[in-house]
Amino acid sequence: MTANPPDSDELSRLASGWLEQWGDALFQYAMNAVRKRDVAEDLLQETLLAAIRSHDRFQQASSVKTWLFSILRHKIYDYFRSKQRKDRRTDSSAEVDKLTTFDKHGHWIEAVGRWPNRPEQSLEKSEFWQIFDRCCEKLNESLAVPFRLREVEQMEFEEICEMLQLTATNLSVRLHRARLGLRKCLEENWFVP
Amino acid sequence: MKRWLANIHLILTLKCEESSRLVSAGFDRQLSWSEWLAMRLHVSICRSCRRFRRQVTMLQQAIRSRFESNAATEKLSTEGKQRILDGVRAKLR
Repeated sequence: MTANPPDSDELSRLASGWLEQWGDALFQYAMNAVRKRDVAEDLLQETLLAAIRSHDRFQQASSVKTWLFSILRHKIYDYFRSKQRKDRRTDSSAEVDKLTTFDKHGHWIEAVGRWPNRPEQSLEKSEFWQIFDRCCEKLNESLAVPFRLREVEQMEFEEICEMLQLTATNLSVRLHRARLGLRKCLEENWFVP
Repeated sequence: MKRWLANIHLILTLKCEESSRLVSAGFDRQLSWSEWLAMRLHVSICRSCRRFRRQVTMLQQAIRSRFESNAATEKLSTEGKQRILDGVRAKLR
């Protein structure tokens, strides 16, 4: 004798309860990773759906909250992975970045400029971060995503390789180009008038 | 022996492109002794690479403190919650 499967109203009440209790925490977690409200909301929605669909298999070994967070983390990884794939198909500007930074002898084409003595003072200013965000957006996604995961999320290098299915060399190249590109963009738009 | 010569070659002939690559890699993994030495020697005589290293270090610290002190605090709006629940309901049917 088995219990009747819960109907969809019951399931949405379940989702609504989770959202009430942990919605803000989950949303902030997603926002920290993706920084876009609509994307964070979508990820949260997918998380709830996945949780509902598998909640009968969920064992009370860990708390519901931990379980929801682990689903969300996987959804965030999927999101970044699919962004990477799209980008790989459409763009090859990573190669261009390389060509315009160094000459054929491996020397800087443009010397690296001097930044103010106490740049950390500039870093307090919110305009700096606006420019920083714009510069990040200008980076090709294939560079921006690994950079964000590494520097903002502070994920381990090997973990990023696994998540984005990149070799260590490939990830290293991307992070290098991201740092070069970001530094240059900041110099052009902020540090040197 | 061959490997040893390759290390010496790296130290003596490092170009800016390689040096900046090693500076960047140094943020993500432990450099080998020859890579580290080659990078440090190059940086000590090359102003652009020295600046690159300093600036990227500074940026890294700034980004970390920004996101630690300024982690997203936005709350889910009432409309946002509603949108999410509507989506869930629609997909459950």
